[in-house]
This record gives sequence, structure tokens and C-alpha cells, in this order.
Amino acid sequence: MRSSTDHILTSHAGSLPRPDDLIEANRAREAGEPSDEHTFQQTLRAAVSGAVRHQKELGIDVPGDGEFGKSVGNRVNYGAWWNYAFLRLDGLELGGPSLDNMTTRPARPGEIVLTNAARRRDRIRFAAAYADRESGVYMGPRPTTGPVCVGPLTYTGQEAIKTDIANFKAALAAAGVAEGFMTAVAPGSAYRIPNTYYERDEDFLYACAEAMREEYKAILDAGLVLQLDDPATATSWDMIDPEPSVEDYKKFIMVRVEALNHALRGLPQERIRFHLCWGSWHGPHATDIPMRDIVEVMLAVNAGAYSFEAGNVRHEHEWRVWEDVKLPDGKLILPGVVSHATNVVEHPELVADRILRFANLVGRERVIASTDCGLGGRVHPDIAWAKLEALAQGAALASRQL
Amino acid sequence: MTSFADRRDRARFASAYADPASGITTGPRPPSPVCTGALAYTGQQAIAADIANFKAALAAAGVAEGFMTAVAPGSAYRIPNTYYKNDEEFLYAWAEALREEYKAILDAGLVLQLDDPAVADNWDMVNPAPSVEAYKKFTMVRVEALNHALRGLPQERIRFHLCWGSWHGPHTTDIAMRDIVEVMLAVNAGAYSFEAGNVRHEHEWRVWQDVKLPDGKLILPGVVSHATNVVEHPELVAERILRFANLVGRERVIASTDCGLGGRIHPDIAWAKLEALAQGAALASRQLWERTP
Repeated sequence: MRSSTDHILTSHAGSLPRPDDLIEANRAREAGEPSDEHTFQQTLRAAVSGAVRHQKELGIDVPGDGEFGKSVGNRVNYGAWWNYAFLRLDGLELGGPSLDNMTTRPARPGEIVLTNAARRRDRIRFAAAYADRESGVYMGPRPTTGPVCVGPLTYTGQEAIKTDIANFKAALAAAGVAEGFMTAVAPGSAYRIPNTYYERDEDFLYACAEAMREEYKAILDAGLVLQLDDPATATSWDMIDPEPSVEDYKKFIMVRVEALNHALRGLPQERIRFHLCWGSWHGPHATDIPMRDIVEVMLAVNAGAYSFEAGNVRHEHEWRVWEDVKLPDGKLILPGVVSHATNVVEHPELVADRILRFANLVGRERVIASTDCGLGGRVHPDIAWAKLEALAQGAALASRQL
Repeated sequence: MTSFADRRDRARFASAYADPASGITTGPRPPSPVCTGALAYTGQQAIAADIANFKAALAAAGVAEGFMTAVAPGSAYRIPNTYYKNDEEFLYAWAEALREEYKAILDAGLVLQLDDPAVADNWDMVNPAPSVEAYKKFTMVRVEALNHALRGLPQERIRFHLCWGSWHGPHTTDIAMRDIVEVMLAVNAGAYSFEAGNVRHEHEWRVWQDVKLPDGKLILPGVVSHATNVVEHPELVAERILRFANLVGRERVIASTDCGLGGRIHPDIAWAKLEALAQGAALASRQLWERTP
């Protein structure tokens, strides 16, 4: 993984705005409308190529494929980062409840269980705002049903990931970019669906880890940087009703981190980055768990770099966590210095201020300037690209000072 | 000045502004009035009712001081005019008319807040972008008209509100605070309210490293904002307050919002932001007053 040896490198958290023709092609495919596979693949390949070129033009040093291989059939979309995995796993059957509609389950001290997403404590406190289409909290069309695990989980996405990798590597080569990252969902975030096959929750989690390991390996074998998306590490906190103790929560999450580490065994840590976030929906986020309470759990993931939100008003102050927490030797951080959480485009001087705070604490070589979360589907495409531009301009300002 | 629709930020992000799913919506837009005769203030009853309601509410809640807003002439007069001979006459007619409202608010013992976003947001409405010098000259004419309306009124109970427009757009063409801070300070007010809690203007606290706040005056920086649904963490609010307090002195900072919250974000989020504001101010106060022997 490249580090910021002579300037502050820039990257982002993954999702980028899909071009309208790709969204339409995805929509048609998802709806089961007749679609010419060859034309579709051409559209996808061209979109990835355009996105990589655009990132390079804007000054993004470590680009991604925009997650374009993860189907999005609507301009507003918050779910593709994990929904894609359901199409790449065997053992699932459609027709179960979605995350919003799963059975509610109360937690007890020492006995943490997730309730459904509609029972998130922030959603309950701000129920009227979440329900108001004009409030800007709207998350686009949400599935009412989801997959259920009914048999042994196996990875069946070999062709899909091969295509993603080929499209991305061709785009990187065409743009003359040395390093790129590709996202994949972590088991702890992926397995939050009903299961009627595995006896215990942990069996299901580890089955998911084993299955997804194949995708992780494919990305790494291709020479790319693997980014593991694992918002559940932070967002599960809000999905436990009532609020648990921090100690109980950390124990609960460590089980998931261990499963992830199991999936990563023997894989090259120096090309693995981990993405933590508190959920990218435009809600108040008043019940987000503080970074301080989960930073040790995050650092227990066997990754070489950690990406996290630090560019929105709920988490911006948490750069101070790094005054007390030591970043293990040889590891990097990718703090979010521009965010999906506001339409306002960050001023490059603010971006530079934010980068400098981190660089002064962990060392300039160990900071890659990034975004809070994926921008695609969360803000208007033109605003998303303008934010990447501001990110690169801010990083250049910070580099000059550093 | 050009039209609202021709603003440079709107032109650059036309597709985002036009997209109902982008979150930029500003609600139904009323038709604009045209000035066709001599302007005269007729709001005596309305402002009397506002004052009576507010003073009764303050008394019932046992609150000593409250503020009431009124629009400044430079922001109000941006409508078509077929009656006055030139732009400046029209502006001063507004100043004279509005002065009556300012006086009523001040005579009632309240704090008057003058809302004058045009000082900052006209910049984006001049297309193509003018030079900063030309813009300052243009804006000073409006500040002078406002000062004319304020002549003889008690400056120590007047605060001035500057902002870059509260719509949820990208705001990439906002003029820098550094370029207009002197113009703002030329307003005969005792306190200045401005945006400092959104990502386009948060870094501008540094302006006060170089600019001297005139003696006896206060600032009301925005430390929570309408620009995001996310509720500010009280520790971030405290950090923002401390930056200003360390530069201009703790006695001269009142923690405030970027802009009005009503109508810009969901009511429940608006109130939660005021709660975060108060919690953050309490945290900052603890740090600022514990340090002194």
C-alpha cells in the first residue's frame, strides 16, 4: 500500500456516482427486463474506465472502481455496498424480511442481540424526521424483503469478481495509475440477515467469513488493495435496544472482528484496509457510539490501514482520540476529511486543517486523506465530484505545509 | 445583480439544484412584489403584536433579554422597482421605511437583529464574478443605507446577522469572510452574527487572528448549522467556541447558529441542535472559566 512519503495521498471510501446509463442498465437488469449481456458489460466497463480517469484528473492518488460492479438501479442508494454479496453467495433464498422488517429483539445485559434497523435508537428519537420525505433523511427505495440463509453458504461470485477486477485493472492501466482499491463487505456486516440453516449465530458468521474470503483473496491476488467495509462495527451499537454497556458491546463486536481476522488469515496485511463508519444515511446520528469506545476494537482488525469518518459534525472532534491511542507501527489511517453528510462542498482550507490535525499526531507519512463514506448515491453526483476535487486541493495545501 | 436563478453556484450545479432528491429544495417560491409607489411602513400593528407576544413569553419564562429580527434594507430592496428614479433612492426609501420597525423593537427594550445576507450572498449573484474591490464598494453603499436607518439608535442593543444564504446548495462560490469582514464591521452594530459552523466557513475563525474586533463589540459565530442533518457533537461545539474565545476573549463570544433553523431542517433536528449548542457552550464555559485563578 502506498503511503504519503512525499505528499499527502488522497483516496476515498469507495462508492462513486454511477453514470445514468449504467443506473438504467442496472435497473433494467434488476427488474428482469430483457437486457443484452454484451451491451451491459460494455456499459459497465466504460463507466469504470471513465470513473478512474475522472478520479485521476481531480487529483485522487489511490482510486477505486467506484463500486460500479455492485449493482445500483437508482440515483439514491445506500445499500449496494452489502446487497451485492447476496448475489454472490449460494445458500440464500429470497423472501425473508429486510433489515428494517426483521423481528425486533430486545437485548439484555451480557446478552447482546441486534434488533431491526427500524428500531435503531436514533430512528425512534427522530421518528418524525426519518418519516418525512422533505427532511433530507430519505434513503431512496428500500427493500421490504431480503435474503434468508437456508443452506450452506458458498461463494459463487467468481465470475462477477473476475469481471470487476478486469474492468478496474484495465481502467487503472489506461489512466496510468499504479495502485487502486476495491471494496468487499466484511462478514460481520454481511451476515445480518435471517438464518434458518446454521445452528448458532457464530456458525453463520464464520460460514460467511469463509465464503467471503474467496472474494478477498481474488482482489488481493490481482495485486489490488482490498478495502473491507464493516460499518456494523459502529452501527450495531444503535441497533441494540436498549442501549448496552460499552464493555458488553465491545465483547459482541470482537467476535465479529475475530471472524474477519479468520477470513484474512495469511493474506497480505499491507494491502488490506478497513473501513469503519456510523452509517451513511442523512439522519441526526445522535446515538452514534464515540470513536474512543471502539478504536481498540477497530485496531484489532488485521489490516494495514484504517478508514473512518472524521469529516462530519458528529465525529469531527474525535481526531483527539489519537492523542491517547497509539497507531501500531507501520499502519496508516484514512480519516474522512470531506463528507456525504452535507451538500455544502468543504473549503480546501478546512480540508487542510483537518489533515494537519491527524498528521501532527500520527505523522504525515501515515495519513491518507479520504472521505467519510462512499459518496455515490448519498449526494448529488456533481456535488460528489466537487467534494473529491476539494479533497485533493486541501491535501495539496496540507502537503505544502507539511 | 443578476437573477437568483443565474447565481454562479446554481449555474455550476444546475442539475443538483433541479433534482428534488438532492436535498436542495427551498420550498414553494412566492411571486415577487414590484415597487410602484412611495414606500411607507404599514406594519405598526404587526410589529406591536410580535413585540407583545414575545415580551409576554419572555416574562412568563422569566428571561431577561430577547432578540427580534428585522430585515436590513440592502437585503429587502432586491425586488423590481418602477417608481424610484434610481437604485440608491429606492434603497434609502427602504431604509427609512424599515427604520420604523427597528425603532419599535428597540423602544420595547428588545435586542434588534438585522438580517442582511445580501452583504455576502450578492457576491454569487453578480455574474460574472466582480473584483473584490468593486464588490466591497457596491456593498458599502448598502451598509451606509443601513447605518442611515440606524442613526441615533442604541448600538449596544443592535446585532447584525451576516450569512451566505441558507439553502442546501454546494456554496462553492461563497465569498471569503476575509474579503467582507471589514464591510461587516462598518455596520453600526454592537455584535456580529455570522456562519462558522458549516464546511465552507468553519476554517474562517482564523480571520480573527488578523482582524481586530472593535472594543466593546461582540461576535456570535455559528457553531451549529442548518447545513447538515447530523446533530453537532457538543465537544465539537465546545472546540469551535474555544477557537473564537481564545482570539477575541471569552466575554465577547455568544455561541449561536449559522442561520435560522426553522424551515431549513426538520423541527425535531432543529431543537436537538439547540440542545447540542447549549451543551457545547457549557463544556466550553467550564474550560474557559476554570483556567482563571
